[in-house]
Parts: sequence; C-alpha cells; structure tokens
Amino acid sequence: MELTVAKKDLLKIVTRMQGVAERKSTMPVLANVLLAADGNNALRLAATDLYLSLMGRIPAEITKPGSVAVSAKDLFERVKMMPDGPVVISSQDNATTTIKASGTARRYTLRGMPGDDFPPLPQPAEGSPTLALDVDVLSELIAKTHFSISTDETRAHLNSALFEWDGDVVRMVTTDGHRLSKVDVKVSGRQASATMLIPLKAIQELRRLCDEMLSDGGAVAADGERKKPELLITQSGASAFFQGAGTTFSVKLVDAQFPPYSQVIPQASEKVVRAPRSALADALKAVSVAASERTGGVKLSLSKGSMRITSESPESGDGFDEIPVEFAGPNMSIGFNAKYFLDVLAAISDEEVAIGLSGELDPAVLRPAGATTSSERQFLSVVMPMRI
Amino acid sequence: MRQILHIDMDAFFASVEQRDDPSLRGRPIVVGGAARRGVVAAASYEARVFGVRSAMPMAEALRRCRDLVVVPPRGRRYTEVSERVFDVFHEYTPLVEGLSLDEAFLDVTASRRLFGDGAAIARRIKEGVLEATGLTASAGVAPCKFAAKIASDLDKPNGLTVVPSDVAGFLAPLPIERMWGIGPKTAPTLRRLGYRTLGDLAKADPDALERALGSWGPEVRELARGNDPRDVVPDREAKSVGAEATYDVDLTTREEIARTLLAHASRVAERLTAATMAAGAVMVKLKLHDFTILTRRMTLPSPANDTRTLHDACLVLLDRFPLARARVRLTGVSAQDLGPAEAVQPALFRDEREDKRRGVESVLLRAKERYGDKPITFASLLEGALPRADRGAAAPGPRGASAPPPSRRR
Repeated sequence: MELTVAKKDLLKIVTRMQGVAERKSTMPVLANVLLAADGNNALRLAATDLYLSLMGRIPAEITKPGSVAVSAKDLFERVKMMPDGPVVISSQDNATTTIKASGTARRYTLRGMPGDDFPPLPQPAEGSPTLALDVDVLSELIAKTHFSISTDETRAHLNSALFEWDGDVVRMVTTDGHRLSKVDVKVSGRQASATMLIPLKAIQELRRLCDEMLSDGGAVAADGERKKPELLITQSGASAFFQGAGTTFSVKLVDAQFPPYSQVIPQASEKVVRAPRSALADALKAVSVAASERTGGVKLSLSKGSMRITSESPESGDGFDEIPVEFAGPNMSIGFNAKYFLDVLAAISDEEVAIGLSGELDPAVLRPAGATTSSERQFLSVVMPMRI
Repeated sequence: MRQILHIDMDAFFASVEQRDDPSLRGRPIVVGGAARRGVVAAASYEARVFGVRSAMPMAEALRRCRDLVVVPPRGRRYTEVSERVFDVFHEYTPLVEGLSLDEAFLDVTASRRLFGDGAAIARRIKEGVLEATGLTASAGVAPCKFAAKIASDLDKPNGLTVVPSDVAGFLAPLPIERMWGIGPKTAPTLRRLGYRTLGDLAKADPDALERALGSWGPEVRELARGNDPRDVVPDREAKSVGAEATYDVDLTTREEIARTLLAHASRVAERLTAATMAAGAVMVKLKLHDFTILTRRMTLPSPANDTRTLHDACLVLLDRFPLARARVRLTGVSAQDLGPAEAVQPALFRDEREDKRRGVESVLLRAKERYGDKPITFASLLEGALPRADRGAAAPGPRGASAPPPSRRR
C-alpha cells in the first residue's frame, strides 16, 4: 500500500480514531486503526472496541492499494510530529509501515498488522430508516442531559441516555437514579418514531462529533448559502449509525429497560421559587466548598423573598450565604447535593430559574424561567432532596 | 449487651524475634537498645522467669539473668507483623481500636450473628493470628473496655478470659494494681487508705476517693463498678472490610476467579450488613503464581452492602486485570470508604432489584444466625463448585466452602 494524504486531514481523523480504539482490550488488534486504500482517491480509516465503531474517509492520492492496521496511539503521536503538508504512508507485505513527511527527511517506521486481521465493522441493513437531525439540536439534547447519566457500568439501563423521536419532537432523557434531566425539541416537518438507549461512552463520542461539526460550520451549498450541518441517524438491528463530517459512527445500543421516567416528574409543585440563575450558582458553589465531602449536601432555607444556603460538616465547619429570590412562603428547609443543582444551572443560559418544591423529601423540579422555554424547546430537571 | 474484646499479643517484639530466628527459641531474650545503657523494650517469657520486665534498665536485666540475649529492635519488622495481626482483627469487625502495635480493642457486638459469641470470636481470632503470624495472643472478653483489658492480662500467655455479666463481681476480688494508671506511686497511697481490691474502690466514698486521687477519683470508682461506657473508636482512616483466600491449585479461568469473588463478596456483604455499614468503593486483589500482587479499585455510584452489587463491581474490576494466561493463587475483595448504611440520598425510582437483593441478604443472614453457616448460599458457591482454599487462607471461619471435596495438588 502506498498513498499520500494531507497531514491536517490525517491528524484530525486519527485524533478521533484513537478515542475509540481500545488499548486495554484482550484483543490487541482493537488498539489499532485500520488504514485501507481500497477506494478511489480516498483513504478509509476505522477503529472499534466492538461496541463503538468509527469509520471515515479522507482525500488521498493512492499509488498502490492495500491495507494495514497500526497502533492508533502510536500513529497519532507520530502524525502530530509531522510538518504541515503532504504525508506519504506506505506498508510492506509484512505490515511494516512507514510514515514520511513528503520533501523532508522526517520518517517513522511502525510494526503493524495485516489489514485483513481487523474485525469487520457493522453495516446498516439495506433499507433501514434514516432520519436527518440538525447537529445543533443533537448537541443541545446532549449538553442539557449528559451530566445526569449514571457512571455505574453495572447498571446499563442508567449508564446510557434515552433518545426518542416522537412525532415532530426529539427528546433525550437521562437519570442516575437520584436526578433526571429531560429535554424536548420540536423539529417541525420531520415526523418520525424511534427509541434508542445510547451508552454513555457513545454519548461522549457523539458530543465530540457535534462540537467538531459545529466548529467547522456547515457545508456551502450551490447557491453560496451555508447549510446548517446535519447528522444522518440510522437504526438497524441492535446498532445505530450516525453519519456526518465524512465519518460514520456506529454504536451497539443498550438492550435494557429505561426506568418509567414520566412517573417521577411531578405534575405540579406546591411552591415555586424563582431565583437569579448566576447568583444562585455562585452562592451554591461558595457554600459547597464547606460541605461534607462524603455527601456534598447543602441546606436551602426559604422565607419570604430570601433563600439562605448553609452547609454543616463535622470535618470542615460551616458555610453560609443568602440571596434574594421570588418566594411567597410559607417557610421551608430542604437539603440537596449542591452538585446536582450546579450541573443544571450550568446547562441553561436563562437569567432566571424556577424551582418547584413540595415536601422536604419530595423531588424538586428545576426549569429555566426565561427566553429559552417555549413550545419549541422544553427542559426540566428533577432532583431528589437529601436528608440533612 | 455490648461485647468488647481486648487482644494483647504475648511478649510481642520478643516473640517476633524468636519466631524469625530459631536459635533464640526457648532462651531468655530481651529486645532493647545498646547493651548496658538501654532499657528493655520487651522480654520473652523465658526472661521473665528471672524477673526481667519491660521498661527495666538493661544493666539491671543483665544482672538478673546472666544468660540473657539482647536483640536490637527491628521496628519495621514489628510494624509489618502488626499489620498482619490487625488484618485478622478486621476480618471480624471494622470496629478495631489499636492501642499500640500489639494490642487492640474490638467491638464485636454486631459480629456475633456471623461468628458466634464473644468467646468464640476471640478463639477464632487467636487461631487466625497464630495461622497468619505464628504468634500467640491473649484475649479478654467483656461487656466493656475496662474489664476486657483487665481480663486479657489474667491468663497470659495464650490465654482467654471471659468476664461474666456480673462485671462488678468479677472485678471485686482483684488487687487495685490491676487498674490502668494505678502504679507504684498511687497504689501505696490507696493501700494506706485501706483500699486493697477493686471491690474496695467500688464501695468507696466518692468524696474520699476524690480527695485521694483528684478529679480522677469518681471515674476510678465507676470503672471499679464495671461502668465503662466508652466506645471502641475505630482508628483506621480508610476503614475497610475484606475477605480473601489462597487456593490449592492456581486459578486460570475467568469463571473460576469470578466464582471466588462471589464467595468473598457474599462474606463481605454479610459483614457490612451485620455492622449496618455500606461501602463506597470496592477493591479486588489478585496474587499471581509468582507472588505479584495486582489490585483494581472502583468507587460505587452509591454506597451498597449487598452481595450482587459488590460482586457486579468485582466483575467490572476483573475485566481491568491483564488476565491472559495469568495463574492466580489468591483472590480477595475488600469494601472501602465505609459509612452508615442508611441512605442519605434517597432514590428517585424504587429499584425493585435492589430491594430484592437487600431482602436476599437479610434472609441469608437470618438463616445463618439460626442454623449456622451452611444452610443457604448462592448456587455457584455450593460444595465442589469453588476451588479449594487452604494455602494459609486468611479468610476467617469455615474457609470457603465447608468440607470441600478432596482436591488434587499439583
């Protein structure tokens, strides 16, 4: 195999490939990235950990077709050191691979594996339904919910995000068992029906993909207008495929039952507090410095027009702050893990937040109370209180 | 009624030296500083026959016993052995309060459900310590710290003294010198005032005692009456509960290893449940055939104390070990970052699976309480399913499956 590619293109795609390649696997080939010169004027790259797979193409000038698999991490580190400009990649039959900066003396030799040893990647069955979704919508769904995905790998149904396409609404819901986030966005004119449970690791990868596509901006259409970047989503068998920016990212969906989330979202709250978002975040951050490390708990004491935030810990003493809020009473006190509130406050941009409360041990509902809430977009977060 | 153990190693430093160097066995030895000028840090029982005692000036010890062998202290070694001793204590309860390298209080009140009464636990610990270190210890079992400490000293070495529920009656005939803090200075004063036994102190007029002993007086009287409410304050910063075993034949498959982890997780879960504690983190330890020790640890998303959750975490951790072609001689599970079991952060959803797991755990525990150790267990831990553990197993009790089938040694 011999081909020439631009360093910039190669580095960008190898950076993402090495995020998917699995270094710790018992199958050494999974630490590799596949380089295949089997098409016209394109180098095909692929990486997989058998759950996530990433496949992409970059423009290449192919002198001799062939394929090889080399360590994703080694390739990344070496490509990074190349000067800008064309890079020549060539491999021998014994999979020894040379990377050379064209027109300079800089060169690396890597011991690879034959490309045929690389596992075949999943392909969507023909005729599988495909939906087109604006990248900024998917990005918003993830940004507002990713923090409440459980990190407990033993509970697959919580270690993932629920993605639903329900008529002309796309929705993402996540929960770690103590809090829940849900966001609905209306995508007018795009009717569909789909439900998938996307594992945390894939959500992180999708987030990177969205960021990259958004920072690149959309493709320029024929009339010179910039088109909003879109992702194509295909569900086929146990996998979902996300296609965009010249790459296809596939993920094995979680086969489990997401908890019945609508049951735990309170329909109504007895009291509603309206608080300035950034002042509340600021005060919570300040007081939580003194909260018990084990629990991270702070107490919110509400009285007419004011919220007092206190923390008490046998190890680290007390913390106190007070902010003005809109609250009519009657007085109440309730404990929360400050981090659960801070995650929500960081995910929204409105100046005000509405906190719906009922009893001391009943879940609280946080909603943005400003411009971003409309019939088009709805976000809420349910947080279980703490016994303090 | 609380059940407190006081465990005191017999002539600890000297016994370690005699165990490590067979030529010292049976001879009067002391551990201590440079020949004539130091003091005796520890004296073997053979040396004590000559009246040699710890804290005695070395010159005097040598005068009393002309054949005395003086061994320079090896602090690191004593710490090492001490850690193994304390590991045995921790097999039975997380509530261990060390007083020094060689003695500790243990609160085993909650452990009785699993291991039998205080005396039975003390016997098992003595056996465990002997097995792990080759050293003997003396134990006192009592409803309070004060009486337990006195009891452990009554039948040294290798003794076991159980204080009956009438603590005051047990203490009454003992001479006042048995009490902590009543030494060569205070004792003569008290004797002059007519107090000869702890019983005399128990009956004393509180004001008179206060005049004689100052503010300490009233406390002395209460202690002599067997009233000592002080709790055992566990001193391990990172408290943990663990179980491990070494196997007869090296384990080579993931399934075998996973099964041993289930046995350990189940044991750890029982002990956590009995102590109403929950673990914030789980650690798996593997020792390979070449004695390399590998560990992997993870923080649990929320504290847990049931077998399933602990074992699930163990399986996740197991996949993080490089196991290809590994031969494993020892496996272990330890629960770490312990805290009270009651959840401070209630859950949003009722987790029926978790409720069930908790239910299973308490049924298992109650069954063991009523019928002993064997009646119910996880199917994959039934006899024959588990590799045989015996190469100096550190796990307490019936050591893995009881009465395992004979296994072939390689």
